[in-house]
Amino acid sequence: MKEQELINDLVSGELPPERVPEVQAMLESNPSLRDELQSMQTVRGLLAKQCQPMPNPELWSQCRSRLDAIDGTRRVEGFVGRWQYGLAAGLLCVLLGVGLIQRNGLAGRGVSAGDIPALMSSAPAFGSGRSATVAPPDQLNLRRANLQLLAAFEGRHQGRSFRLYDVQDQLGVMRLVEMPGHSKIEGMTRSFDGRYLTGTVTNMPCVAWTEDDRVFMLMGGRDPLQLESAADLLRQR
Amino acid sequence: MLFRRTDAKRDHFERLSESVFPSLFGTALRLTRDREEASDLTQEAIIRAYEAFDRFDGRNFNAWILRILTNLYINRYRQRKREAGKESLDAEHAAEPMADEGISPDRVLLDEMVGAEVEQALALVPPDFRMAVILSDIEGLTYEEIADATQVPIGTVRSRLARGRAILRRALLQYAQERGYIRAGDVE
Repeated sequence: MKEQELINDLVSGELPPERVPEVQAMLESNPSLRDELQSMQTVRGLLAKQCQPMPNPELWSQCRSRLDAIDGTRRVEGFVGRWQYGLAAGLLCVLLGVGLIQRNGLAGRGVSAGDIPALMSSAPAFGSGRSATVAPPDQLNLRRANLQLLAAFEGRHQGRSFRLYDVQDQLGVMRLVEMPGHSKIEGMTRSFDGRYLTGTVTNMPCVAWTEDDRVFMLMGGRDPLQLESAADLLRQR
Repeated sequence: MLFRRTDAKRDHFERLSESVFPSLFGTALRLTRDREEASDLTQEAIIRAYEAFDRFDGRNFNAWILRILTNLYINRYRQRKREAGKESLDAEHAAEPMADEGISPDRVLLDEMVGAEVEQALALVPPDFRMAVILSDIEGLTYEEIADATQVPIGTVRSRLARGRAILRRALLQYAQERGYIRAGDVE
């Protein structure tokens, strides 16, 4: 056992130099050990000669793809790690900005139908007959619509300016709300032909539209289709 | 700066890995004797090596990555052994004679053998012995490197190597006999 391990050490090139004379003496005195040495050398030589490396380009390509994936992840992690405070500060700024915008009523510059009752509560009562002190906007043609301006009011509500016009035709009185600086209407349903948004405000049918960066809402105690017809006439220039 | 450093490291790793890849896959295949498992093992070794590349001391990349592959193989082997609960993988129990007494020199006989036959004979060697033979005689690792890779003392490496070579020689001679390179009486 010991002798054979020494022979294997010799074959492997791991025999300490100081033990070489000892092994040489063993080999000279023992022919079977010499055969053993020769056999081991043969086996080792055979392995070195016959067991070649095994190229596998396809597998190497797969490995490279996996390395690419690791690099991608590291880059993202590295970027986040390096800029984490900057990213956090940026996110905070965005949140603050959005908060400020919402607080100041600028988000999307939209008008919700639900805001209108509160807005109208700050104005004179509907059809109160207060005299007109505000000229109607250029976008609307009262004469073509055969509408008579009964009263007008200009005011601000929660940071938003608005104008109210009470107008009358042969079917009765309607109220027109104008909100400059807004381009979106929320909380109403699009009409069949898509030209207007329809809904109800303070229990009155209402049609709304946007024009020249302002929102108009026409409401009155009549059928929505009649309101749409009146709005069509109003909008003709 | 970050990207450049990563790219340089990747290039360096790829150059080193590509040069040893055929040897790495060959070792995995000889250890597992299953192409799919060998592919999986090789890929895993490459990934682990890349992740640990900062800890490579810059000396012998082949020995370093073979150590990773061998460790992975041993861990999987142990896990499978635990799961199976029956297959003994302890090479020390695979009792084989150290050498056949009175066997004749077989250099000429074995020289006739081709790669596939040698691979088949190698596959017959029990796993722990085979690992020592592969790492020493095919991959050229030193005893110390093999001990490091297989997590056993150098004395165990010597013993496994001696036994592994003896078993392999026996298997080779048996193959030579079956293929008609030698007659049964030639080796007795």
